[in-house]
Amino acid sequence: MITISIDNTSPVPPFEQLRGQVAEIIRSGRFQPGARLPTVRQLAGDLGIAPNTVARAYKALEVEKLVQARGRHGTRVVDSSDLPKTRRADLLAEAAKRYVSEARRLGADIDEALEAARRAT
Amino acid sequence: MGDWIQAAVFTLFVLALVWAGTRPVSPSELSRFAGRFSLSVDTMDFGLVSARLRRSRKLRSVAVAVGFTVGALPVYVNLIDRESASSFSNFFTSQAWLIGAAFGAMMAELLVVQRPTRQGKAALIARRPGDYVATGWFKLVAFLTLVAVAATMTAAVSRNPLWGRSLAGAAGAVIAVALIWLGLRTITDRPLLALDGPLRDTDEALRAYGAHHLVGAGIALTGGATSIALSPLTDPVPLVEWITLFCWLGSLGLWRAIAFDLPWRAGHPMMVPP
Repeated sequence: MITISIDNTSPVPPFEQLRGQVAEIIRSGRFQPGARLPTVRQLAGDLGIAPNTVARAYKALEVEKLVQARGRHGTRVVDSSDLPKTRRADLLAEAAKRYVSEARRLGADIDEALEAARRAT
Repeated sequence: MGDWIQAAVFTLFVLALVWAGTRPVSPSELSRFAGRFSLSVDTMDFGLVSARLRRSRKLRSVAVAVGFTVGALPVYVNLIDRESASSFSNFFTSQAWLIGAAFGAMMAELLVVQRPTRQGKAALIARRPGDYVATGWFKLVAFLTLVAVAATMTAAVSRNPLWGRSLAGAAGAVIAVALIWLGLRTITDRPLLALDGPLRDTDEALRAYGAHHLVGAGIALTGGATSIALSPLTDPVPLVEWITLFCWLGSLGLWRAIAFDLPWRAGHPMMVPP
């Protein structure tokens, strides 16, 4: 079961905590493309936060092209294969930048980083 | 004298209905609930279940009693003013007890106030009406509503003098759809009491209980409304008379089966342990 939690004592706003956790879950592949996210009211009730906070997090995830709101069919995880090629390339470049900066922070050179990426597939 | 006896019988029936709905929940009712929704009697929260079953039953029976009283208005008005009694006898008042049943089941869910026991933690799983009641019943409600609307249109186009009766039937079916939709949305959006353990199972079973009562009463209302919508068409097509009767009796039988008898294993497949 995939769970998320909101820490009310954290300096990070609840909306950002929620957005970050859902984004991480989607990027890790634990949510299948096309999977449906809980409704705004359901998640807000379960977490004990305002519906506006959840709606704002979902909106941010939509801007990141991780989810798509489909009216009465709810909010679903975007199937990346449906994205236009240019948009997919942009998202891949952004993810690569994040990975490279993390590798640099750990002191790894480019060959080590590429090797780690190959091993991860 | 006969009018007074009729009114007294109606009144006694309504009072008996309210009494039956407000009596305490018996241990046998609780064990039947546990068996029906696959709950373990050893771990079930008896206080929670007992309070919710009683409250839900009370609201449903009071709503049916009010609907039944509305339906019996011609009898009561007849005691004071014989002239105007017939104006209270129409197809809306005759459906009132079924509207009451569906409305009561919806209110029983709408008035539940529930806060999660753990703060700031949730399962990222979309709850759907199909987690609590078989989706086939929704298709039946949609089909019956379409039949009612089609019957109204046929009656209107063919300038049937009783087309207003069809319209009242179609309106009843649409009311049923609205009540089912609102009630099920309330059930799925309500916060989970716990993420796992017996309390979650009890919570899920109570949702399934509410959903079954709501959909059962909704089907009875839709079936009754559809048979009213079809009734003006029985003149040109004699077969429709039998379809109307089948629709009416069948929906009442389904109400009984869905609301009180059908077993259900509540909970989202992703949350049920293998």
